[in-house]
Amino acid sequence: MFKRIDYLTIKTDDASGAAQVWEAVLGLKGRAPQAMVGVRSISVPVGDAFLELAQAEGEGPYGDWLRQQAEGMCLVGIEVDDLAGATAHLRARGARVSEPREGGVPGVTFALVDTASTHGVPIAIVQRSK
Amino acid sequence: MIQKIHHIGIAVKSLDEALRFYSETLGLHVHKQAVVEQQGVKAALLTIGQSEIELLEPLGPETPVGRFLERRGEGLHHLCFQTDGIDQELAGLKAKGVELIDQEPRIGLAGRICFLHPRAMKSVLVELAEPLD
Repeated sequence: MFKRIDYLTIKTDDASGAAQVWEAVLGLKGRAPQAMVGVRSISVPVGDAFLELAQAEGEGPYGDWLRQQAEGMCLVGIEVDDLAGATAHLRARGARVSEPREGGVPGVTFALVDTASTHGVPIAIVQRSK
Repeated sequence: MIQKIHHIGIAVKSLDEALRFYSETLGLHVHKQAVVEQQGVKAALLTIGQSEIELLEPLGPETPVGRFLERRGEGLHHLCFQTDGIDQELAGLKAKGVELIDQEPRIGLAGRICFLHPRAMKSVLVELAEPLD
């Protein structure tokens, strides 16, 4: 049901500067910057997942949340095939999960698992349209 | 060469309690579990797709993970990339002047490993691992 790590978000105050560091040190090359719901982000593909270097910018729910996070790793995206089923599965086992909603990226829906259930790790369960 | 995310490390107070969520609730398979005295942790690796989640319970408050828990509480601790040549990676990092925690590879749960200093990677503690199996 929980298939793979889809992405890992890394909060930074300077997405372009961070991308330069990741490429210079580890050879991981970022894609072009994108803007969505208050965040400027650069995706850095690695294997079958990607790092999201995310910088709060402007107004938006994601940017507002990101501003409250410390610099560094702050969110893990886990891909599922059936978001409604995964949400029901987690709730049936006592985890608190938000209502599924559309993400800032077209074709992506997600729900957030409360950190009290995950031992302090913000987790988004993510379904991508095929 | 960096191949993929090998694992994401998570600091927890109790490995048994954390396994209830990551193994029983998420249904992830426990691939390895061991006490790693050198790193001061009781750890478990759980498979998720091509990567893993590593749960780390400190063996005491004066261990690196114990101090992390004291400062920041449970949560994301480090990010590990798999490489097919850790000696070459380490030599390349030294040549670039990258700040390292480990000057030479050592044995960890994920294989031959080394850590970069978080100052080198914008506050992210990065591990490199060359699996042995």
